[in-house]
Amino acid sequence: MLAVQANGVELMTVEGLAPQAGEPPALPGKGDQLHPLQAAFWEHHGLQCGFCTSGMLMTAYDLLQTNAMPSEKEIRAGLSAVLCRCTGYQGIVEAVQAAAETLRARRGD
Amino acid sequence: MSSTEMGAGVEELTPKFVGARVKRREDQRLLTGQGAYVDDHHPPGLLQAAFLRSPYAHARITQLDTSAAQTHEGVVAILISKDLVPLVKSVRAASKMRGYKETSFPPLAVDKVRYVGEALAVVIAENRYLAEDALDG
Repeated sequence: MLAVQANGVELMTVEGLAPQAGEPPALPGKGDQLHPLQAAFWEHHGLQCGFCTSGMLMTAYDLLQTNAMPSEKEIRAGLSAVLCRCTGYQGIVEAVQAAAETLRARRGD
Repeated sequence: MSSTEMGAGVEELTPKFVGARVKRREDQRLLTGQGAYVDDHHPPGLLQAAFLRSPYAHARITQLDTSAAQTHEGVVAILISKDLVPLVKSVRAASKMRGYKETSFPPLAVDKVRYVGEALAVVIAENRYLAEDALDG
């Protein structure tokens, strides 16, 4: 997307993922300022250098908004525009699956 | 020394980290957009470079005119091979591999380019945009 196409729209960056007041922490104690996706990336080695991580997180966040239970194939397709040269993607896919599960449990599905 | 005494000093070493799940300490900042990379650093006086590269695989350099680029806004310096030759050595990659023939090359092409993308000139400017603009002449 070109910047001009985003004119006037509401944008959310990785800073916006942090739990808002009243939301349960993803990792109580250590890392309680993290969204379940961020916590899962930490738990499942979804990052190394961190350069792609903001993009990975926000793309995964968007994917989970429309698909609460994506398959591995759907996760890989959903994240295909974001390149990671550190992890080999396996940890990222596992992290997104784990976060999806946490979010589903939280909503009670 | 009795065998008991010798045995008293022996302590079984239990590895602390081998096979253990260890959480990385740097992840919290990297996950929350707090990571900093080279591009995020702006020390005072920072200049940026852009390289003019060969569109040809093998060609002779007959002329390299940097005068128009010199006049561009924000351009601090333009270097071509003749500026560098007295200052720097050729780039070389050493190897102990048998039969390996080392081929050194200049940092900026001298007289001839030998591959697409070989650097011919470098523009140093106040920022990357201005450096790239100057490349276009």
